[in-house]
Amino acid sequence: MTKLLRRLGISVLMIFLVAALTFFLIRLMPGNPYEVMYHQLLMKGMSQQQAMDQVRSIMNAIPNQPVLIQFVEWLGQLLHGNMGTSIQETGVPVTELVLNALPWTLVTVSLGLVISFFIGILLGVWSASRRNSWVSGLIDNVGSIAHAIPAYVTAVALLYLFNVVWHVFPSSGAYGIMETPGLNIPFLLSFLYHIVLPVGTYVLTGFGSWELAMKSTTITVINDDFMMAARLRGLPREKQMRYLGWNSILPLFTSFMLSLGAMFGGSVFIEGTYAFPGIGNLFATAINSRDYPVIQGCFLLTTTTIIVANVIADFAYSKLDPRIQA
Amino acid sequence: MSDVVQVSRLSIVFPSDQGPVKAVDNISFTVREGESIGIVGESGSGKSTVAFALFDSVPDPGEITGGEVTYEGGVKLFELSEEAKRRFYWSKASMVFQAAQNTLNPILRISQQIEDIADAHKMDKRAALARATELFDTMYIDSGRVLSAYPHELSGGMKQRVSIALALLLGPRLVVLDEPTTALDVISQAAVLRILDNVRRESAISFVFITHDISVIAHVVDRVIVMYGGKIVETGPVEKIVANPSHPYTRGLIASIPPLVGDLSETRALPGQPANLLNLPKGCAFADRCELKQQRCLTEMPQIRTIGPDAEAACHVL
Amino acid sequence: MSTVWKIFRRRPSRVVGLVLLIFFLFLAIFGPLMYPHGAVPDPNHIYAAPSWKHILGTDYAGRDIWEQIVQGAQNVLFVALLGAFFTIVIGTVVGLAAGYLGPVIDNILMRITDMFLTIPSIALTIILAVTVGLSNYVMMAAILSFASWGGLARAIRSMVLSVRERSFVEVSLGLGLSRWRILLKDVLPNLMPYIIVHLMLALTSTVYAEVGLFYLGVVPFKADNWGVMLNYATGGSGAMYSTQSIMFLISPILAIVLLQTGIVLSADAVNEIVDPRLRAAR
Repeated sequence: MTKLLRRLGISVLMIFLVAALTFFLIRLMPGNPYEVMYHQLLMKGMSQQQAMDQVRSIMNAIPNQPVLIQFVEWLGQLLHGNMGTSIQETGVPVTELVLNALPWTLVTVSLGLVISFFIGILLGVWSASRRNSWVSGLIDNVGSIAHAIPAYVTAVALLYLFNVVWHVFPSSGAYGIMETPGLNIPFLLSFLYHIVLPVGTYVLTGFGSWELAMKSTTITVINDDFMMAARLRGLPREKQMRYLGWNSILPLFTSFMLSLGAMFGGSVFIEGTYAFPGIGNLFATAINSRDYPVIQGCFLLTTTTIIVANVIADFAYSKLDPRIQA
Repeated sequence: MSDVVQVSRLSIVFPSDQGPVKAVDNISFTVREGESIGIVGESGSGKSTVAFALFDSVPDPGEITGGEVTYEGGVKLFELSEEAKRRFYWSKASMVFQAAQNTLNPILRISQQIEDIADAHKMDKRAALARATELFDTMYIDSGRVLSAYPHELSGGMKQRVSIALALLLGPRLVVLDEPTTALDVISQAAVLRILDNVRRESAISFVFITHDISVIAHVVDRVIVMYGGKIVETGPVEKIVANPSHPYTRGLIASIPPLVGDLSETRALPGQPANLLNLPKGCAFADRCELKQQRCLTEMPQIRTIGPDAEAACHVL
Repeated sequence: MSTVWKIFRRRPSRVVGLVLLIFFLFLAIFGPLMYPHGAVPDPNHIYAAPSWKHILGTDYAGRDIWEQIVQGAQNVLFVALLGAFFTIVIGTVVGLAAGYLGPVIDNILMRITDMFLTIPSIALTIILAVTVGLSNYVMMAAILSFASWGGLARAIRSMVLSVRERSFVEVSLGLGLSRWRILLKDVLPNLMPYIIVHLMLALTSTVYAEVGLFYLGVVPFKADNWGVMLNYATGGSGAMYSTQSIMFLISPILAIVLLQTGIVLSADAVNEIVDPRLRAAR
């Protein structure tokens, strides 16, 4: 229990550090965007007070003040769920933009993660059971090459083949224009149809690392004494495979953190390529138009999501593996 | 008394870059009902490989190249189907491993592992747990605590006792124990050996002990088989082997045991290196370490022959 | 040397990887000599099909695609190599410090490392790229390595902790050798195999991120880069939607895929070359 509290404390600290990092990174930008915007507004003929208020409502910080004061102000607003307003889409709160985008990304990334995990595990066991054969070498090479090929290359290739050449899947969006988002069958079907390519890209770029990890843990476990003991105990083959499987899969939970970061990172490219209305696309667009409040919001929310997901994964791991104390 | 298992002309080869290694070369022995034998030898003598051959489970890439293992009632192990072998394992013959702490599935409670064994052999789960509790009681194990524990929550000695209890769970005819006490401290060692001795006296189960240290098992075995370089060099009743060993290698082995009481200067380590299985000589494998070596020992392989009541040895000099 | 070649020959895939890697290194080194000037636009040959004159055809402005691929190779490989090198240096230094300088520093450094491992490194790299600007090769490499050293630092740390336990380090300490001397003479050499293998993996990540920055179009298109080509091919030029212009899309894709394949397949061999245990296990 104390360990869980400690873990939560570290997570909160980490979220704070990431918040600080995003704030100061933006402040470091060439020609400090806060002041650039302030001066732009003055040029447009606003009074100093008006310009100051405008910058404050967009950026949640007062220009001209010491950086630390600005940070405290910005952080206070953040705690109230206020992340400022978008520069590009004038007046729209960043919180609204990012919260609208996040679910699309969450669903596709989770699906991609689960599917690539399962494919990776199956291939890993297969490769381990035929190690030293050419099949195993082929699976390993294909896995690591697929992992090394950038997500945008895979995305562009899939888009070209399945949209431009074969006209099988749509090139953009998360659902057809005729559907209303909600719990209705036509929408869900249209949604599933639209996410085939994005999710397929996550799977293609993600399964390789699971395959390699699973192969190496499986080979270790196969040679463990308790597997020979399980055979001599006369356990049926399915039971032996279950002993082998669980003991090989559990160590993979520790790679969860790395893969989530990589997948959300990939979403910037994947959603950009498929014009998918998720947080990665929002981030890419905001970067292109230098919409700093939105950039901050996307980065902060994504990282927070990953941190929360990690706490959940840790908790689940401690429930699944008796050797780990919660 | 009938034979529980009969090993005849067994040979096992490990392929390697430098050519095939004859880990076990044409050995034969039998274990009788209720009898406890010890297979003794240095590392590389092939003793552990024999243990796994009794289950047709020689670790990769080892291969059984000849011979037969016949269990009670003429069951020829190597000819059984996988399914028949599976049902045979543990119910007729079971094993206690050298590193018992690693033979329990680390992520399952002891009770679950017992239930898995029961399941595999169509035994009632409650009956299996009751039987395990009984066995635990005779081994001074707190069954309430241990049944619900995970392996990592138990001490090494405790895990070894649990794995002995698991080996006895289905009432097998033969239990093979591969260095059952090497990984334990002296106190746990004594406790485990006492438990094994009790089981041996109270049941008709046969035991095969695999060990490099004859002194440890001297009190729990009836007969000893001494192996060297993949071959049996001497067999005989334990009293005879300990008090009056015949083969020069056995003599060296016995002389190298430090006495519990008495003069340590009497103890002599065996000179030289264990036989190199990659490069076995044409004659006796022990010849280059032997004090009594003669010319024919280098050129002619000694055959195993009777040298006394229930005793055999393979040596030209005797 | 003969052992190295023997290890490559053991699997045909490794030879393929080596050939690919050498091919791209050759382009990177000698490309600027082959084509000292930028590709020249030719309005009469827009989207020309592959021919002897233009082996990969021409782009929307009539420029030779092969020439652009060759010129991109230098930018991509040089920056990626430098970035991978920086990654290795930061990761190794942080890992050594955490494993060697006691629990307090270890704790602080590992929290920071955890943070960098959690953050989606691509996103941080992109923010840095627009913040700091990709003014030159060294700056670009530094930005690429800033967010990607966490995995190595963590691995190095746990190896240092385990190497420290081994007897030869204890013996050296017992002999009164200085801690830094031991670190450099005993600990670091033991980690070298892992560091070298990680260099190859870091290289695939920096290629990924570097080309990605240009593909996204978030930085000024000053340099010749495969990412810029890919950006134009999928975006503005519409090259993707016509069979006539398809070489402009396929060429950068092929270049990236083949380069990454070359690195990954060579890494497989390097892994075995630097780790004697793998060789013994065969």
